[in-house]
Amino acid sequence: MIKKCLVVVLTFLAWPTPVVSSELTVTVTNSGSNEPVPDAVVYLDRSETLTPITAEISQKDRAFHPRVSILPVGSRVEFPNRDNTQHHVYSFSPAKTFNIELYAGKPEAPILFDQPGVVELGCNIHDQMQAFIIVTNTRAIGQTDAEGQVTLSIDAGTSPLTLNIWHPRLPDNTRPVTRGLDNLLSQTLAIDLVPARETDDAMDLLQQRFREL
Amino acid sequence: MNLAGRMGFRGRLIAAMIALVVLVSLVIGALLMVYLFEDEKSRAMQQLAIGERMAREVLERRTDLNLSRLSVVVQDFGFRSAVASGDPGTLDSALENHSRRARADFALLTNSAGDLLASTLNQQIPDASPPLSQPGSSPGSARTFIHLGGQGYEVLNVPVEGPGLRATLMAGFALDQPLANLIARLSGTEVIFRARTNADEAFRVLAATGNREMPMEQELTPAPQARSLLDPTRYFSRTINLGGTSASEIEIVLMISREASLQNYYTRAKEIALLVSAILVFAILLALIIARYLGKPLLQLADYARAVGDGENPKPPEFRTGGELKQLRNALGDMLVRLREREAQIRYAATHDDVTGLGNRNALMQSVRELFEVGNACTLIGMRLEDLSDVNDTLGLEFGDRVLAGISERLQAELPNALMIARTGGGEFLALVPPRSPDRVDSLTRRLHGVIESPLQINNTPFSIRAIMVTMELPEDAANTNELRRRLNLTFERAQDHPEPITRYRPGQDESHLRELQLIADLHTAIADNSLHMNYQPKLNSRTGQLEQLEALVRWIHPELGFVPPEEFISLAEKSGQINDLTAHILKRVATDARAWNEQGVDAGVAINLSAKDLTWPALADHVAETFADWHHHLERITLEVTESALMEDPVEALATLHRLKALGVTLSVDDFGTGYSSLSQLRTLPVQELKIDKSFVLKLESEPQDQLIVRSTIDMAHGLGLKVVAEGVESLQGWQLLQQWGCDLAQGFYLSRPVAAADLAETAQALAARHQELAQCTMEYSR
Repeated sequence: MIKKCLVVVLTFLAWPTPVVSSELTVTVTNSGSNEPVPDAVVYLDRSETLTPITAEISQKDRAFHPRVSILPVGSRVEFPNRDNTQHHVYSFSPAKTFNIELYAGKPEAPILFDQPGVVELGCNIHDQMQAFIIVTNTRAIGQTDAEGQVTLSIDAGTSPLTLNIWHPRLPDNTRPVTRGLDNLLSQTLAIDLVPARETDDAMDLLQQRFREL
Repeated sequence: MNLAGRMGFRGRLIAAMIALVVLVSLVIGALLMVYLFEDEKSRAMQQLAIGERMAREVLERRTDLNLSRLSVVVQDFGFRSAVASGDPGTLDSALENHSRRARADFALLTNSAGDLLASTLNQQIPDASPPLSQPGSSPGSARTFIHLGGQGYEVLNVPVEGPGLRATLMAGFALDQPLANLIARLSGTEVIFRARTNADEAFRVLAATGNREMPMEQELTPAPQARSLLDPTRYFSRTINLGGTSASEIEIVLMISREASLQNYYTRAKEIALLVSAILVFAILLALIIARYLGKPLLQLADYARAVGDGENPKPPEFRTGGELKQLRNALGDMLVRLREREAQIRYAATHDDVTGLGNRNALMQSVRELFEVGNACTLIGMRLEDLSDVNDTLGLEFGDRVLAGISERLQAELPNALMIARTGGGEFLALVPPRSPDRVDSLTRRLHGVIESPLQINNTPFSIRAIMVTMELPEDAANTNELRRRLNLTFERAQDHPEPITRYRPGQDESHLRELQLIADLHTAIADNSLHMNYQPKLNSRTGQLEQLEALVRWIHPELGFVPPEEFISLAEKSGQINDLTAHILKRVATDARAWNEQGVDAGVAINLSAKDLTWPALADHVAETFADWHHHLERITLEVTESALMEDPVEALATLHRLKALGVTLSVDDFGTGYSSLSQLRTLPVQELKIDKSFVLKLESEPQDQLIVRSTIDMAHGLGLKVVAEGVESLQGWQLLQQWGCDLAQGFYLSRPVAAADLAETAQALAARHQELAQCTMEYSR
């Protein structure tokens, strides 16, 4: 499943750029520890016309898969429930507010994300379930690798640029932080992150019983 | 119990013990009180500390409870939906509804930027500063305490974190009376919530337990650490500062009524005081008993020692205590025994003669005294060994002691029924024997005398010693010890002169002796007071019948005894050694009187009698010379008369004196010539110029032919020796005429003139002159 998601993202990243462009490599570090931050979403603040796609964020084992999705504006997302419990998927994010009441299986219709922004998804009956959709209208977007590096292709002569960096552990992860770039060479940008919340994978007894049912 | 008398050891013991007990009791009591107080105080403090922990715990629990309630609220989908809707009406009603679910007293909702979205309050929160993070609570939540509108609140901030939602819910929970009651119930203290909005302001009470009036403000000020016993505040208190916003301050004050917490203390203090009092009483009783127990043997010993000191023979006290007291008692007993021994020795030595073992003078006198007291009669036999001092001198004291011991043995053997035999002096023994008739006494004494004088065997040598013995009948002869001693001595003195070996005291002897003693004493006074009388008897020249000389005769009229014969007091003066003073006194009187009568026209020399003792007075000549230094005639007209016997006594010394007197130029006369034993040869050598024929030859001269012969031949002999002759005792004209015929130079006698006082001399001289015809006739006959 993860591989599939990755494929989707890679496909999106490998999207051919019509404009001759240069590449910008950005390294994101944690300002507290100076360590590289993987999985940060970095994108330029720019408005382009992109082709919408249909993506799928499934629920399995009381978690959203994938946890972070990057979608062009206008994309639709399916929320297939592959657990044996029902889920109540909703979002109060200004970029997209929706509410899919408790359901099993697959909802009748995919949800349209027609505004750029960060949409945070939650399940009303599983508080720990969390997923983020970055709805973007630019191609210059990427996620940092294990070294905290990401390479973006940018149009020449567009500097100064404003760079958006988002990470689930930002203090306010409802919006990205912005950084101004004064050159297009490789940059190292520091962001503030809250410590990772202890993931509670262990299921409580009630949930175990549900799974056994 | 006579406390005043026995204060001293026992009293001091009691006082010391009681003082000690009081001191110890008071110290223990005071310490107990202090410790109890400290104990109670620390217990109160401990309770307050527990109360504080309790209060904090209660608050924590309540906070946790409220936080969990709030967390349910903020997770509620409906609430989130309402928040997400952004509709003010919806928001307000949802906030009110859900905060009531959480039992919050008020609630506010702010967005992530801090803007107020909704509120159940009409007023503004006074301070919107960021809430203090509290460890232990859920992330993002916070607790603070505020003071709002007269009510204190605990304000909890809880984040509202829906997917895509960022808001904060502030809910306030009142610090109200039920909470205070809860804390009070759990901690057992009074609880006050109070607040002030400014550090300078006074606290305002928000809620308080108890239905009594509010404590004074100063009692709610933070308690100082050190609290003393006399702390005036009525409460122990502890303050829990809940912090709060910077402008206001909220505190919980826990209080324990000091009075209530010290109630125990006071009760125990009372008990301790009672206990101490009881111990004191008990200790005093114990002290009294112990002092009595300890003091009794001491008092007994003191009484014992006092009795020993008083010379009684007390029984040693019996007591159970041993140790020092017993030693002391035994020592006192030993002392008593030794005291008795020593006393006996001293008494023996005081009443016994150490040579013979007989009683001594003291013992005898004591016996006599007892005898007098009971009125018994007895006979005293006295004995003096003559020559004992010679024996001691020649044969040694040891020998003398043996003699005494031998005599003592004989006395004891001879007088088996004697009441007392004593050696009362060197060789003097006295024995008291039962009374018997005079004849039997006499025979007993004679036998005793014989036995005493019979030879003693001493060192195998027969030795005999002479003794004189005296007897007295008691109490006829002496009624007290003084009389006894005096009369005994008198009798011994008489016995010494007596040929008989045994002399009995004759009643009356002592009286004359006493008279002598008195005269001796009074003569001294008389001389000193110039109270002797001087009479002068004229001596007439037998040829011319003229007054030629006056013989000074001393007279003494004793104020009590009347006329004292000159022979008596002169002889007493000689015995008592006053004769020289008397002579000197007479010389002075005569010198004075002679000057007086010379001035009255009486031309006469003086004749003064000298005592035999005067002749052994070396200073006599000088004294005479001095007294008559300004004599108005030639010293030849002073005649000093001495008796023959005086010349016989110490011829050498007397002669020397006479020579000195003669050298002085005075006339010396032999008085009472014819009565002594002086030989003519002796008379020849004497430096005298005059003989005075004793009156015994003259008194009856006219009728006694023998006297006539003696007188006439004496006159012739004297004249032959170149001496003048004086006759005394002329009592008749015939006598006078005979003397005139025989050529006697001077004469005196009653016929011629009696002795007269100095003042009457002039008159006497005139009377004699008037009789000149009568007296001088003989001269003519003689001359014929």
